[in-house]
Amino acid sequence: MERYQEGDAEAFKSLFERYEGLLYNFFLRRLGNPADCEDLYQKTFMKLHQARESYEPGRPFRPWLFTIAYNLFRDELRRKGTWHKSAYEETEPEAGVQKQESEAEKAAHKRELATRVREAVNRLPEMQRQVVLMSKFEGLSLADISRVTGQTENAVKQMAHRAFLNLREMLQDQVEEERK
Amino acid sequence: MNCDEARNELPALAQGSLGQERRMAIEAHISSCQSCAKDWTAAKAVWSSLDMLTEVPTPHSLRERLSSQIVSLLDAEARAGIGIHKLLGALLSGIVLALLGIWSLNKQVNLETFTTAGISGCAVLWAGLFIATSCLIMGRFRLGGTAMSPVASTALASTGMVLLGTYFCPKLELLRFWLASLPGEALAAAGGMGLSHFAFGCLYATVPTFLAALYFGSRLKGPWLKEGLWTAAGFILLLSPSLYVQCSFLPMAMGVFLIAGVFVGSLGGALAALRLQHTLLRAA
Repeated sequence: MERYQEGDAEAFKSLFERYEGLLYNFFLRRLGNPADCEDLYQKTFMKLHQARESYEPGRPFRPWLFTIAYNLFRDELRRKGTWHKSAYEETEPEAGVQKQESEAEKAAHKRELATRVREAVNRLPEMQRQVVLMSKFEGLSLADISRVTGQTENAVKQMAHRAFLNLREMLQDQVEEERK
Repeated sequence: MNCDEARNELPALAQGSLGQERRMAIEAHISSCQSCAKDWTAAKAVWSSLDMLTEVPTPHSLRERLSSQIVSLLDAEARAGIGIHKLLGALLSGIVLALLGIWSLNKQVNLETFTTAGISGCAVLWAGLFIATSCLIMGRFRLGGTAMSPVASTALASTGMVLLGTYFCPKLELLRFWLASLPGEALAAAGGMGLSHFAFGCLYATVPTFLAALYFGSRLKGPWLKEGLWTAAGFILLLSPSLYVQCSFLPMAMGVFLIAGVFVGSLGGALAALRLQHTLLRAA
């Protein structure tokens, strides 16, 4: 990041490769709409580029980056007033290939489970959803999440605990299956 | 540890983000509490069920377009170099700093012993050095992989502190005080006057460079030795007119020892500050 601050294009490319997928999915999981997601994805990197001088070398980069992303997401929610939760569908990588029936069944079952999990996450209260997504997919610790969202660390811990309880209840069958 | 405390940490435990001590305390509690053990199994199941939400790759065209756009912006900034306004600012600040430097020297040293041409040459050289330093501070230049802006800032700040010190207390007064002091005399007795002058130079340069590098240290990152060398070299260059004038009252050999001490002292001060910054950042 320090080399990027000094104008090193290769340093930027390395940073971009490492984080662009995470950022794209950060917005896609929260907004669902690929068009909105692409817009905020671009805005995040442009804002990162403009604000790179304000980054303090030595400080953890990931929470700083996701604070930019989270603030843009929050502003987008305020602007829209509402959002479409995860309208996207995961695509089969081998969509055009003929499958054996059991493989097709397995894939369908997997898609169904994924849909249930996605719906369960989307039914969580907003801050609990943010805590779950940030800790699982953005790899942020609860301390980092408190910095990104502006909540206290205790509040984030409570939200994480309640989110897990809610998900456990909503995904009871799945949880029982995993336990076996 | 009670059950409420343990249950609150289960999400962090599932994530693997707890410190070793905390993790072991919670695992010890779980192994002795059936209810919390059940909750932990459920928490692990919830965590792994989230793996069903797979990542979607970024559309290739979007990724390439955005990356190229930002790289183009970086190239444009690099081509723009310093810009006419900043260049004019560097010229003005360079001239002002050089005049301030000559004025500060004149207050404490009898410049009448020098010719007008000598003083003018000193002023012009100093102006050139300050202008170059200001350009390095304002531009995004890298020399040999080292970012020159924080290095130049450190060199300028430490020079400024020394010149301010020179205004209130000239170097030669301090030197006389040092040579008459116990450590000064001890070093002179042990290794000759050259060693005592060298030690004075070290002490003289270490403090301002250490303080300046500590302030700018968050932007001075490794390789330390390279950046320390650049800082020390910048500091010596910026101070050179003042060193020339003040050391001209000393025997040449003693002046050389003193200047060598200034170089080593500034190198030591910069490296010590960088190391301290690094340690403090890690602790934070």
